[in-house]
Amino acid sequence: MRLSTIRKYRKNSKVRQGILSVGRNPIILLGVSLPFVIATATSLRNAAAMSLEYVVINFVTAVLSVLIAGKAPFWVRAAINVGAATVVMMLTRALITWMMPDISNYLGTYIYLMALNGMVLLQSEEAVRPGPVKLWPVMKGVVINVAVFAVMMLIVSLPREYLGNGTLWGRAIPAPVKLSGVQLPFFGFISVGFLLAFVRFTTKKIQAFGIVDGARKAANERARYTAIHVEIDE
Amino acid sequence: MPMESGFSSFFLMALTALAVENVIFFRVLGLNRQVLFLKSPKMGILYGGMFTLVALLSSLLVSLVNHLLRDSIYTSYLRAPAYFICVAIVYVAIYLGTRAFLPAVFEHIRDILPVSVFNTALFGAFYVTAINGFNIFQTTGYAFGAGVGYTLAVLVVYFARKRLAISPVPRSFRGLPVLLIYIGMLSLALYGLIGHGLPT
Repeated sequence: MRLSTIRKYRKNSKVRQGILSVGRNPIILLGVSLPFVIATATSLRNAAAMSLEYVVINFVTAVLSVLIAGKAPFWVRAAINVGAATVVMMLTRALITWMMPDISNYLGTYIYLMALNGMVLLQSEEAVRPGPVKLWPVMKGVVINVAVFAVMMLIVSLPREYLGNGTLWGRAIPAPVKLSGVQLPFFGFISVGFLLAFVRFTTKKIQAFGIVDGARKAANERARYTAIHVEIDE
Repeated sequence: MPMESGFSSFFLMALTALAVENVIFFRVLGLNRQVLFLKSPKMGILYGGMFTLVALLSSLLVSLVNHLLRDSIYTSYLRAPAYFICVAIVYVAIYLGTRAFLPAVFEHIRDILPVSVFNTALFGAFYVTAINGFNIFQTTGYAFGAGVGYTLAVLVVYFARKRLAISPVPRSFRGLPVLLIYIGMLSLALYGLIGHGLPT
């Protein structure tokens, strides 16, 4: 097999693996931090505010988890992580309230509860794995996690705000129908359920295409090599 | 406040938190992976029991914090760290106390205690008591009701997952997606049963 073909296959495979890693994310697989998507993704402004808070809290707690990994038992690490997340939440809340002064009226207590999002405790648990915990892979994981969370918030909040309020980012947009019920938690549960099913369906299709595509390319290369080998023998 | 009206406040708030404002179905709190992927009903009862105990004990400290911060201009900044300290005190006391005096119990609760304590449902219930200006009886009643309601909701989610696992569900919907849709339908049904109407 030619080296250039192997390199091209590896590059495509990495892109495919990157897309597939979204489907293997703890938010998609385990439902970590989903309550915030279900309850607060009722408008684009809410989505932006909660995503910003999520980003800041998770980056700080991820770094802290790496620093205290192996130095304290899990029950202490969990408390330290949540305590640090609480402090960071207060600072982020102040920033968000400065940027969007009326956002607290819409987010209510959820802006405070983000300090207890499932990823904070999951990061404490992750640190129990044997061996040294490296910062870069953890940071890479955090980037993917926050990106998935932000995209989910955007996808769920956009139709809910448009259909529920007839607005987008607080600006009135004519809507064909107004369904105030979509702002309630039950619609959040149902829409997130469908979204997760769609992500799972898509990643399975990509994975199947990757297997079929890789097998087809490998078979073509073998056939080509065999033909060349036969020509040389002849 | 007379004791009789205190007890009646306690039970009224407990019933409110348990049924009318269930933390999982109406407030979408406490829905973490331990609840969504619970291994057995016994684990659910243990998990919910720990949550209820911590909520009840912490609510005594939280009601004191609410009373102290009621007229403060820094309430919005001090409340979150104060609640964390209250819950952390109870958490450490339970952990060290059971480890020292009840080792058999400690072995069962060691892994679930951090998750049941640092839970959005617990802190969410406390914020509700603060926003509504509850007194000590109402705060403890609400915390107790939230705990019992949370335990029942956890068991409902467990049995729902078991039922859905043997139902003919499309492949992409199996597991978490169909469970969330089921909880959404249940939330809507309970919303109507309580007497709310969809907003017009």
